[in-house]
Amino acid sequence: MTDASRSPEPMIRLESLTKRYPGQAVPAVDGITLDIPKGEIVVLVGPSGCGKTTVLKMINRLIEPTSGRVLIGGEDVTRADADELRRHIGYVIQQIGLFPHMTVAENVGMVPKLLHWEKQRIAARVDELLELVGLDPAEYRDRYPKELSGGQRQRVGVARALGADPPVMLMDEPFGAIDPITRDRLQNEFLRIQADVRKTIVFVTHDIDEAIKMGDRIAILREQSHIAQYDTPEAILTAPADGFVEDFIGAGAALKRLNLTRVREVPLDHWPAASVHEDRARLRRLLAESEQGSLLLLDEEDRPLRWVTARDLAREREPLHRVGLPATAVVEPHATLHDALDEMVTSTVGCAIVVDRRGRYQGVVDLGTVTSAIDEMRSDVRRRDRAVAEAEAAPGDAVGEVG
Amino acid sequence: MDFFDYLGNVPEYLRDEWRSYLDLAIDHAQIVVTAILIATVIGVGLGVLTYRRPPAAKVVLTVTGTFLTIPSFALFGLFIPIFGLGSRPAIVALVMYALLPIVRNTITGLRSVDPAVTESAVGMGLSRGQRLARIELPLAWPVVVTGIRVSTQLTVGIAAIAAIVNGPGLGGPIFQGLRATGTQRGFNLAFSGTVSVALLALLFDLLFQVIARLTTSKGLR
Amino acid sequence: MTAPTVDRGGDVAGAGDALAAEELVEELGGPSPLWRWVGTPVVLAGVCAALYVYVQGQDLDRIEEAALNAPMIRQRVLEHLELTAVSTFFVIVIAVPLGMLVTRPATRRLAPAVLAVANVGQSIPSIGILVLLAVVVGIGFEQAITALVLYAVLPVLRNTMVGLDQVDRSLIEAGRGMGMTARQVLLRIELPLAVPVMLAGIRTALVINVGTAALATFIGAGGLGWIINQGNIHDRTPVLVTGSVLTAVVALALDWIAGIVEDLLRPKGT
Repeated sequence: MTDASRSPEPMIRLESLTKRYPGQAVPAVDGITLDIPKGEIVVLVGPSGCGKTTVLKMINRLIEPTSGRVLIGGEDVTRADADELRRHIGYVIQQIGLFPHMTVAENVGMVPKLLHWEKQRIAARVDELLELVGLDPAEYRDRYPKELSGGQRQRVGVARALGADPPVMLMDEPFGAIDPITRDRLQNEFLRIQADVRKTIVFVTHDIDEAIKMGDRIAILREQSHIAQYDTPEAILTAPADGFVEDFIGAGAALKRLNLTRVREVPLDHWPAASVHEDRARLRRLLAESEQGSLLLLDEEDRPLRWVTARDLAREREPLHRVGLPATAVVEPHATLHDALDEMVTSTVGCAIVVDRRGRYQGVVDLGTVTSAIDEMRSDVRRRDRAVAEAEAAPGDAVGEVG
Repeated sequence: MDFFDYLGNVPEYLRDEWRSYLDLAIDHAQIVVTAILIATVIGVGLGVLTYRRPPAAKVVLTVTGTFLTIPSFALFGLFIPIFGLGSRPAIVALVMYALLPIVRNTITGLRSVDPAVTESAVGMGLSRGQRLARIELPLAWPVVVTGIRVSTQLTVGIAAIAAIVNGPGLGGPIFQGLRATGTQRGFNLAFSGTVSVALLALLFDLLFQVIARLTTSKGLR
Repeated sequence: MTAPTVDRGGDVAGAGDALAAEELVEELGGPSPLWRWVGTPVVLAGVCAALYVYVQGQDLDRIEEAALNAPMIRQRVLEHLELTAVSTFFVIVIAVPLGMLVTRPATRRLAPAVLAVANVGQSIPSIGILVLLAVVVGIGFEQAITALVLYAVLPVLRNTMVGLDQVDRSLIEAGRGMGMTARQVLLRIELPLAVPVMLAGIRTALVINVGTAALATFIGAGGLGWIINQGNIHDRTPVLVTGSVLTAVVALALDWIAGIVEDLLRPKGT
């Protein structure tokens, strides 16, 4: 991840963007300046009333700024045709706003239609997008929004925003109205999609945990959208700029940091493991050679099956797949360390088993892995801060836009 | 003569005749109030009886809705052979027209009572009748009153047509005016009758705002 | 819009549908389709047959024969339908655009005033408007149409406003947000979604018009009211009954057709 102050060419640049409502003493948004790098998710987060949604809506000019400029791809859009501009900016809102009298395909194909694409091209695009968001086009294309679950509607909303393949997307609390479990899944899915499409995304939320999870960068806003801190989630969690940020992050910053690292990014530990079809003598030897008190048995396809101890192995009359304890606490590589820790505390042996997408055993994560990951992160941020401080001290060097 | 020439002469006419219009308005109000009282008793009763029985409720709504679709002149006409002339056919017809809004709003109001409130009333040991009288009807009342108000507006206007069956009220001068089209006298009659009906309707509307205020629990305002 | 409220604002939502039970019936699980589509015409046909048998059984005198013969009845029915159709057409042409106009962001402030005027207008009795027009302008078809239109504009106007107003703001925002122009949002989102409420208003106007058209005979515009009136002034029960029943049948039949149109035009997915 590059440093906030050094992104070469921002996709979106907000320049002293201000919104003043008539009859109000203070501006709702007071001169926010922010660079949003290409292909990243920048999350605007802050308490309600800080003007984050106003900032967002000034980018596609659903709210006209009182002063200041918005540059997208280097071009001033504050004077462009607003409708034309919006057709090239994806927009997702909390209520989703699917048109109830139009089918899924009509909803998703709306912007291409506004842009006068040909029918066949629209149809192909719709199917492609539905595939992308994980909805089978044949099944869902002709449904009406009321025939979808909340999570499915949300996916259609995302597909619709991607309609004409806009380089930029604006998302206003897109997962705000969804139950926590579905939300988690949709967030993960969205990150997977983003890894493919690499849009430049401005994402508004009031939920710091969501910000940490979704953001490549986070701008923490206080009242009138003054930026309290604009940095990577790691940096914000490790080195909050001031008391406001610290309060906003809330307790448990260390635990939140665990959401930033995924299991695949840490070195896995190895645990003695063997096929359930091995003979017992060999299993006993394997267990004795290791430092651990138990052995992980795998099935024919290398999937974790049971935890067994020496005592379990001694019960000759029981078949191996029945002795010991079931192998629970299984995580996949894309799980965060937070997820892994969660599983780990419920596990009998104090570690989470890592499997690949097919369920094959890869290794384990234990508490030691977690603590060293936290240490690693902390020192990373310190190193970076030092580098920034040195750069700032150097004369004539341009300083970034942060703050 | 155009409309304003005619209009200019109306005040003089009313100076002499306002008393008779007042009498006619009282007659008019009388049949409206009678019809509304009867319709309220029947309508609320039907609503209470059917609000928990959707099939029955649908039948009641369909039938009362059909009444409302029948043109008033046709209904009055049908009643002449049955009830003769006078206020009886008028009142029966007005009751039929007034039913739907009252039944509909009674059912809507009773159905919109929060189930949690009803459940807690059950939990406290209120009987079916007590729940209805003390909890459900008072909560539904604002909606019911709106229904009665709508019915009243409706019947004030329709009652003017009752003059065809020799019904009492402000329809009388309107129809008399018809026999003198193109004359000041015709205009005086039709205009005074029409405006009186409109005023009466507005008066009833005000009255209902007061009634709604007085009969609605303070907690619901 | 299911529960009309007590306050004046509630008028907009409540009274607009005061003449229809549709919404509540819908909420109660919907009418049985059989009744809605087949029941009404069967009953109406039965009523007509009974009326025919009744009239055939009567020994008609000259006055009765003058009113109750096929050409005369056909003429009066056609007149009645013409009055109703023409007036309803003008009501739609006037009230729908007006309703659209006063719900645009720039003119939204006018909406309460427009509604207030229309509400007061509604308290004027239909027969009064009809007679006043006759007294001032004279009798005839145009005057009858004018009176009918004046009287039936309100429900359509009000329902157009309510229908447009109840469209979820987030849909409008979503539409604008994806680059639809204000006009596109109106035509593709707001209007289609307002159609059911607007149609309910138009159906109400149709019922009002078919009823008021029965009074048009008093200002020389014919229609089925003429037959009723003949029966009344000559004190001939068969004529009175025939006129009344036919008027009621025409009204119920038009309402039935309007109901089917409502079913067919309801946007899918809502």
